[in-house]
Amino acid sequence: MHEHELEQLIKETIVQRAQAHQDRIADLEYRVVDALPDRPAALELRPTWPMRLALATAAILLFLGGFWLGGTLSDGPPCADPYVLCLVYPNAKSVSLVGQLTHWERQPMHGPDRHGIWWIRLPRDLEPGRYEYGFMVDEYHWVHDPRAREFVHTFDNKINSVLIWPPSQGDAP
Amino acid sequence: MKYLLISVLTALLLSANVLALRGQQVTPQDVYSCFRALNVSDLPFLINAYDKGFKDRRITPSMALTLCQRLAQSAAPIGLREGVLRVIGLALIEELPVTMLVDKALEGLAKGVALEAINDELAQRKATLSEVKALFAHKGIRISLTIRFGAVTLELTLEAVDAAITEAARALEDYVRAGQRIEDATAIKATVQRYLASNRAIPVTLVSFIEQIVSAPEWAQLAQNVANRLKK
Repeated sequence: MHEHELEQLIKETIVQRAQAHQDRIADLEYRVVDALPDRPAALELRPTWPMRLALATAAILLFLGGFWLGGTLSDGPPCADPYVLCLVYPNAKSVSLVGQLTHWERQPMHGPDRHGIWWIRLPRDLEPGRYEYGFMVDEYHWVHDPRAREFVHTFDNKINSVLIWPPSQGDAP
Repeated sequence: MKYLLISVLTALLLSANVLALRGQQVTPQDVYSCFRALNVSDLPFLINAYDKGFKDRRITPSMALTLCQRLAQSAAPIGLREGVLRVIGLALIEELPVTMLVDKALEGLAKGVALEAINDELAQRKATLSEVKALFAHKGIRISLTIRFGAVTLELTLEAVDAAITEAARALEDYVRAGQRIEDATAIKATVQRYLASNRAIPVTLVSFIEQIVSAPEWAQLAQNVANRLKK
């Protein structure tokens, strides 16, 4: 007997046997499922007030966390925003805004970011006018804002920067 | 019932907050208490001067108290600290605007400038304010007077006149201190006009009126006076 004849014989034998047992395996999967014991009912979630509160808190935290993460991973402080004053001073330990805007009280600035930029946001309701200001670096070192458009000389011939508000188009803050 | 109780409690808390805020409003008595605590030598003069300032609305109790409290934090001798209050008191008696003086005093204290230097600066600026006020008065710019400019009639308020005096004096001081040319009368006048225009408390009509009636040489003369005082 040749090899291909043997192969043909085997195939025919398998088909014949399978047809002979067709009836026995027809509903096998249904019979197996029916034979399984009943499962307990699925867990039912009934939102209670504490659960709702927890979910709401989690949502708020996620929202705020997103903002924080966005701010951290962003390119840096929004120095192009006219409502933001910036100073590049990588080696400073602290920088404060001091001026007519703050009634000459020290207002700590945010920073530094990874580029050494310190920044502070101006109040949204800032009245139009001229405001003299400067930056106090490390508690005692007076620094003017190089981005200002006007400057005035004051005590000890130190320089105050002048903020003209609202800025005309194209002006740095 | 539960909601009603919560509403009532919230309302009570809000009322308490409003009352607390009212209680925090600064009064002249708070200012005088601060003067007393400083142990000033001439308390009656200061009370008299600042009382006039409060009544004339040239200074608020809040401004005066801030100044007094910042002076209290200074370690300088009391005579020097009192000097600051005294210069501003004199300006109030002379019916000069004092916002620039208070501002400069706060600036100096914030920067840690020696009180002698602050007092000198205040005295110089007070003299400039005085000269600008005299010039304006000579030109008919006085509180409660009415000016006519073209078709427009404008009654001069204390706020407008004081703001104009302050801005003009500030412009002259800044111009001279920046080391710019005293001989350039046109530039001096332009600087003054720019400062006047930047202050919203000064009506546009008044800015135009001043431009019309005060000449460049008159401003230059005042700038020269500022320079002379700085040389001393």
